[in-house]
Amino acid sequence: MRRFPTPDRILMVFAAAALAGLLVNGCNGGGGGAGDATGDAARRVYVAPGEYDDYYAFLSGGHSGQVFVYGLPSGRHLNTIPVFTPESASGWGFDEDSKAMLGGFLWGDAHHPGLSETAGDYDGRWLFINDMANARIARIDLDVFKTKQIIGPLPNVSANHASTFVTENTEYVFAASRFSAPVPNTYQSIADYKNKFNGVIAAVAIAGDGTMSLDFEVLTPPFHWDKSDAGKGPSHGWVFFSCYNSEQAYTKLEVNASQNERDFIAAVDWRKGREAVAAGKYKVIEGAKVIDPAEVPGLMYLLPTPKSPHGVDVDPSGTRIIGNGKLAAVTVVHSFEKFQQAVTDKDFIGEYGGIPVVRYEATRVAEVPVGLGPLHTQFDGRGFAYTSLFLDSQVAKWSLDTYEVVDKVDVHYSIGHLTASEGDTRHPTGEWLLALNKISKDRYLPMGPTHPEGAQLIDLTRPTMELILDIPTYMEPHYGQIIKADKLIPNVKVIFPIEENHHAHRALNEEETSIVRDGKDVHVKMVAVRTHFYPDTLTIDLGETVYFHVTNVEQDRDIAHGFGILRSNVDFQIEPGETKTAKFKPEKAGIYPFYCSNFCSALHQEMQGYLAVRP
Amino acid sequence: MTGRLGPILLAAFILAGLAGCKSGSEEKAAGGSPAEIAAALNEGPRAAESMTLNPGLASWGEQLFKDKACVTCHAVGERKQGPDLAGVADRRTERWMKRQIMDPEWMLKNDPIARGLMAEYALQMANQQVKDAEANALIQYLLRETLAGR
Ligand code: HEC
Ligand SMILES: [Cu+2]
Repeated sequence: MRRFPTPDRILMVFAAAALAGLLVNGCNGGGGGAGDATGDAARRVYVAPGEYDDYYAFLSGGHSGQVFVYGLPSGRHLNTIPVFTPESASGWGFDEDSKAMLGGFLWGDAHHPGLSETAGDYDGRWLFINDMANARIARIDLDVFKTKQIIGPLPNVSANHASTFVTENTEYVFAASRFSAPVPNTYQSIADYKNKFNGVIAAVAIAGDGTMSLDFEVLTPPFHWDKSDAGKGPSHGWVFFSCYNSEQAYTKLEVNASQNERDFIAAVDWRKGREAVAAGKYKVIEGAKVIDPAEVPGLMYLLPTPKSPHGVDVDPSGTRIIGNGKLAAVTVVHSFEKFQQAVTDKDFIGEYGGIPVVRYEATRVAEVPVGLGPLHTQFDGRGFAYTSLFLDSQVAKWSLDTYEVVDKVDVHYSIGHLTASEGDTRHPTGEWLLALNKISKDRYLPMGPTHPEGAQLIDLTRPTMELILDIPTYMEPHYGQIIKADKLIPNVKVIFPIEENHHAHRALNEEETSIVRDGKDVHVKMVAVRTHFYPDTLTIDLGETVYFHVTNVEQDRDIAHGFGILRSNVDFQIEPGETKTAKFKPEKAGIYPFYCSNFCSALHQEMQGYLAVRP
Repeated sequence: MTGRLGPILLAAFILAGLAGCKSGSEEKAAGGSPAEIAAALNEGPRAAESMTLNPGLASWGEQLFKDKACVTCHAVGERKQGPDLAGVADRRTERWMKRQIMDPEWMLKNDPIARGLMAEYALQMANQQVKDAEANALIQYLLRETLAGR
């Protein structure tokens, strides 16, 4: 075991810790302990069998299209929530409802989970997540931890990266084009990029029940919109988008889009956008209400920011907008108040397509020399900011008061995002920080050329940042949200109450099961219960399509059944109280056994049936 | 060696720190060991003697027996995945049935009769999240069927 302290050091540390443990008789295992950087690390992350973690961490799974749920501080992978990608064990994309939600796509690129907020703090209702590739946004309901809505592909949005980033009271989530394209998307010569291509920023409204609908879009110059963040407190009502490629290049971007010393952070007043739509100041393009910012003064401004800035992050007070330089070794702090003053003073240096460009020196209050490759910033609620440094493979901690770097810690390796406990809200808890690394190289047992990707846990409660746990993950943990478990636990349903099952084809018992023919369709209302399917034998004719509507009538915690048909693409899991529909059209006559594919009981092997298909 | 020592000491520390956190106080508050509680459930007259039939409640219970999916595992006069419930109010006390219906996990861990049934049926009864008033109605239904079957 490498990286283990020497024996005498262990003895000392653990003797001290044991003594402390005896003295305080700490039942929850929190706090206290020796101050050694790693000596009591195990204790800080240890969650005893049967105990719960303090936090849920929701990490996006990049182009696996999924969201992974971890417990912190233990770093245990608790579950996977399939979102944009079919997944056979849960049956996501296999039953008719989830298949319809996926809309035929087999992949998605899940980047930025955003928890719903009330007054700028996580409220634990929903988690939104974007699919960059196919310009979609999904909503996961956190009472059941399931994807309940997917909106998109959003018209005109081309590569939805700067998403989701929820507003202070969950009025909106946003989408924006990373790869500008013609609007509407028709053939154009690529050489006409500057004239014929456009960026698009889309505002997706969230109704009281969480339902998403596209409210309006804003047409922009063909920059590459990169990241966003919603204002809070004094800056509530605004949303900020960073961009690269203000050069408006269309080939060899790594060189051609890195010419300008400064690109932009765009500030968009979404209340003005809403008013403009109400006043009819829009054009309908591909079904979307598209606003031209030149026609709506005050809607949008550009804040110069060095250099191809990546993340844009609003601090907990909502008074500062932080741009992370990426190609500049600084993180730039803009003052929201100074930005407002510059607008009043018309302190502009030019415009792009009718969008005023504010003078850099008028809004900038600091350039913090954080290190190389600054990408993203999070907060601890105690006046410090934490910026990820991709090129340096480090996290820099700096003061929001003096703008000085006070601490750095190495991470392994090539950190992208980082996420602190409630670290993008008005009240970060300041306990934990996860470094979300792109590359793990030598950190885990070798297992061929494919390496796990990884997160690393950093304790923020000590005088200096202490990296105390490696957490391997499947696919990049692109970005994450860390929320106090107490905020979710009271609302989590551990079964689907059968009284709330209003599925049109639900069956609660054998009496309610049926086999009904409708032309060439055969609808089977079926019950699954330990250790039977009712009905468990069935005969159809070749050419008929059978719909199995299977209800798991159990209300027992964690007793899920599966429904799989041999030689088919039908398989899914049915949670207690849930009804799911499998559509199956056999290609050949013969016998098709079906069975419970999710272990349920001692007589699970017996939980099977036969479908006979007559020639 | 180095690697082994740490965990052992850690475990010792954790045990020291956690000792005494979960005493048997919960059980004591409930009035005895699990075995004693289980034995008490089975004491006294059988349900059919101790209870009076409430036909209104019994017919709600009959509906619940279907809606809560009891009927997928049980019938009166037939063995399905679960025991035949014919005459069950002559076999069991009211309190025993209520605990079996509302808290089958506890019964299957602690009650000798329920454990005997589990051995016979090779199945753990489902907890159907039955509420107190619903359990009373279900037992009334089982009582009605027992009396009718005599
Ligand atoms: C998944 C199948 C299943 C369901 C659903 C189920 N039970 Fe049971 N029940 C059993 C089994 C099996 C037993 C035997 C004990 C054991 O193994 O858990 C049992 C035992 C019982 C007994 C005791 C029988 C005896 O002979 O003493 C009663 C009473 C009972 N169940 C009532 C109900 C009621 C009321 C419901 C609906 C709320 C219900 N059960 C739902 C499987 C089930
Ligand atoms: Cu099963």
